[in-house]
Amino acid sequence: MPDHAIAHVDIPAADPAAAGKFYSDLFGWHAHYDAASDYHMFQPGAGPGGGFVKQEGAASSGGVLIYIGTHDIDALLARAVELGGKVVDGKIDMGDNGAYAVFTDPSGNRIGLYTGPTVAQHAAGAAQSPATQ
Amino acid sequence: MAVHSVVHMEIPAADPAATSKFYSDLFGWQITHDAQFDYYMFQMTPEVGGGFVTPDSHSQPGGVLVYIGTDDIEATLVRAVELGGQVVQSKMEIPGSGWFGTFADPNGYRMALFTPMKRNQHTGG
Repeated sequence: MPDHAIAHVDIPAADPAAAGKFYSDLFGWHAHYDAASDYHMFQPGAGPGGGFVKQEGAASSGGVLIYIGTHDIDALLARAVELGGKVVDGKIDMGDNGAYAVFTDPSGNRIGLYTGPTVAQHAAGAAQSPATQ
Repeated sequence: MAVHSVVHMEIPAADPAATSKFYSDLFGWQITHDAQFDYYMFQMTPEVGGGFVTPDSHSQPGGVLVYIGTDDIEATLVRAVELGGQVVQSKMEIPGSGWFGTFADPNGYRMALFTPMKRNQHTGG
């Protein structure tokens, strides 16, 4: 995962399973379901993938959320605040799935930050996970 | 391109110049300004970048607009409607750049489609 590139995209949906089928039928994105976290995910043939999250409130509030890959969520959140952004969700550890955080930029757009599991494990000094080829 | 991956995105900004500086300072994204369109653009990776648009243009307020690459915008829009989506902006040429169109998915979220223009290619007329 290149640093500070798109790592993941969350698309809100009233019915995540139905939304997964819509995008899979439309774009041919590979869809799979993570039962452990009740998360419907998609993966295009190239580039970042993402998931369908249960939408909160009206469809007009929010929108698609992109996650930028980083090795250091805490440092980037602090920097975002220095630059005029605001923290929405501080760093949340998802265990084997890595960690994420969300901030708003000075225009009020929500932007996510994401650290993959390999990076998170390295940062925590845990045993090495299988090398990314 | 035909794999329907994310190729571009637009981030709404009341002040695109200031916002481009925010993202450049934060993420180190390379910023360029296209004077012809007065369009501030960013590059994340060699493959994917985007631009900053004022909220009153075709962006959606409060949200990032993601562009999916496709070889056939019209066919993809037709398919989106068949599947329960709605066309927001039918296929339109961006001179010297390519073509785009946008649709709302069944939940009302806007997604965009993009086909890049090859050199010296245009729709004619």
